[in-house]
Amino acid sequence: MEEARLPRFLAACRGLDVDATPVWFMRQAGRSLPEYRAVRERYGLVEIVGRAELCAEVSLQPVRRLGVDAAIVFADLSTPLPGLGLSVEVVDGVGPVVSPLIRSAADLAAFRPFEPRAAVGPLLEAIGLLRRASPVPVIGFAGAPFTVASYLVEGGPSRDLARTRAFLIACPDLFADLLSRLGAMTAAYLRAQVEAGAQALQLFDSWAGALAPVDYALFVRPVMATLLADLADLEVPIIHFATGTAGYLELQAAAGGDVIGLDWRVDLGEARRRLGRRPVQGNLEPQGVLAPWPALAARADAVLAAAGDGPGHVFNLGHGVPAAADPEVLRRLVDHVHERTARRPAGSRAA
Amino acid sequence: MTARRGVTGSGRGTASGGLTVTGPMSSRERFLAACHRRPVDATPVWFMRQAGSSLPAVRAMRQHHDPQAIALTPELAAAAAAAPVEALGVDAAVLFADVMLPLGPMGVALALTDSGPRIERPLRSAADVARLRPIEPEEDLGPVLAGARLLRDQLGDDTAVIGLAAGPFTLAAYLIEGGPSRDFPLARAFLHAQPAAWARLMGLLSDVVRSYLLAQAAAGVDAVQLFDSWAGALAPADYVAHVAPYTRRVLAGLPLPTVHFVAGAPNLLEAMATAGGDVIGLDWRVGLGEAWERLGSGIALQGNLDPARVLAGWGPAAQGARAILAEVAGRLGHVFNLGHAVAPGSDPGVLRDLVTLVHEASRAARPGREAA
Repeated sequence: MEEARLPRFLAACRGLDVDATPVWFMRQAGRSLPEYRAVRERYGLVEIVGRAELCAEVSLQPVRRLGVDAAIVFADLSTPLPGLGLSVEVVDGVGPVVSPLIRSAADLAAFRPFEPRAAVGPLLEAIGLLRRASPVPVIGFAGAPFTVASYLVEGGPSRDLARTRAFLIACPDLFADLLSRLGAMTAAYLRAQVEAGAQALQLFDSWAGALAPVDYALFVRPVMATLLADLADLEVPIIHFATGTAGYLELQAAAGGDVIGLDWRVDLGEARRRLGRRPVQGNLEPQGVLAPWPALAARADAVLAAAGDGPGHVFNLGHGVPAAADPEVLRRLVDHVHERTARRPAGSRAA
Repeated sequence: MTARRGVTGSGRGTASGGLTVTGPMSSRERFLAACHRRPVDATPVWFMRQAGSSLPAVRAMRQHHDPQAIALTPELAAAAAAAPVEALGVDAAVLFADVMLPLGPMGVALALTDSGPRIERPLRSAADVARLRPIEPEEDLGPVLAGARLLRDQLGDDTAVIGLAAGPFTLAAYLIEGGPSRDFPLARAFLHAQPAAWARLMGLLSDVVRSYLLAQAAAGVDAVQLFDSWAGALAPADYVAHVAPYTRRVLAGLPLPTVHFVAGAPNLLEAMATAGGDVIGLDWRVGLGEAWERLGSGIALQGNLDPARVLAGWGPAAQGARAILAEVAGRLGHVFNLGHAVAPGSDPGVLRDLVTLVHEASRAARPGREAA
């Protein structure tokens, strides 16, 4: 009966019955919200993340306006990197630009030990504020080691990480060392977020799909498995999200994660068949929110139908909310999913 | 180089059945046999963007001419396309012509830059779509076709010549996005927000692409590759509803073997194969063995060494190539290629050695064959 009181987002992550399918959106706090744009007129990304009240406020905006079932702390995948001694600039339209780039073992040896309070103190404080103010569970997050490693190696915008792939093939030991250091950093970073109040975590492996299956199995799966095992004692659900991994979903799932986050390029029904009873999150085509409402509602219904009647589905887009999205439409989408999936109280429906 | 050697289309001279023991073949015979899933003496090899600036002959040309000027000067285009046959030993030459070239005569202002095509005024509305014109390939792209005829004459009958075009989705994606993109969000948004304009655009583009490929066939190419490189950005249901019908319209009943290539699309394999292609071109992100399991062994596959392995050097490249041949395990219908274009900075020596390795290893693996 304890379970019945869990918020629906946390229940769905655990594969438990829910009163309605929970909804949140990746990048729900961001450019699609006018109140966010107003904040951005005065503050840069780094400033927002570096000021606890501001960061908590921006994270709460979509909870108020959209009625989503979870808040996610506002930060960038590159936020922890200065804690290693790296310099990071987030360039609009390009993403994080890191220096110095990793080219040799000496570059790795120069990393400073990662100390969460020193590296991301204000962000941790923001999570505490958010937890107290938010009516819904708070999600902490981090970039997965491979995705962060790609920022440290690629050195510029890329469609398919050609330089990172060549680097890991040419210098496999060095790359594995880099991944394992980033894995340790990520474990400490996420642990600190949970200690600060995060009730769930998401790992974003936004670039894992650039790899050949054999290279994913060789490099990414082991570091993810170690990282997720490191975090197991925290007893918060962890969402393992990756994009472009339709060709090796099973490998992604085998690496771990309580919930497998799917991008829009995989059919959700097929993913359900391939992953068995593992809870999944996703996966409406993000650009679909720009379609006229009847078309969007039909797409949302198709996602819900593919997810099926069983437990263990968190509704989300397959990637971030487009900046051009209309908040009114997002709000309507949240309500639509809740209405379509409203169920009798937990326990009355067979799992 | 005698006419006796020439094989056009579907395999004269092998009427006695697919398992006829084959003697040494010309490159052209080898490539076409693999496309038709017939026995070969060795696995044929070519590389996407094999005529790159890493080849001295092409580099010398690029010092005086930009890629578009080369493509539109028949003698230069033929010489650039032929260069890798000599320099690398590949079994096929590919027309030297950027896949965006048909957009110019459609009325689109575009610049072909080293970082990819740039469209001056990306499409935003149905009115923008309505302004696009159909093309008359012989009139509008005459130099490309003249280059193809010249290449055919120069190479004779022993080397395969592959024609090429971008798939309708890939052209549409560039027209709407305006340039290269990781996953073409504007094009995907257009498809959802303006479905009628999308359908009109795709209908027009499929007519353009089909007529261009038919003109290449008439100019003497042996096979064509449709590069629908960016269709992998789509959700499967959207590919099936909004792209596959147009790809089918392009490929259905073409009078020569077709290679249908899509990058980053492990999610779309079945739908791509249904849309058409005698050969499905795979990028490095899906295993050949898995692809054959999903598609059945009745279709030929092309691919799929990670181009990053070539960039990394001979050791990783050779290891990857051997792993691919092991995965093919002697199945009929494999054309060896990279999983995408040769990356800038790749060593031509590694490519040349790869061709030799694939030929020799696949020859040795064929039981009952005499070494050539």
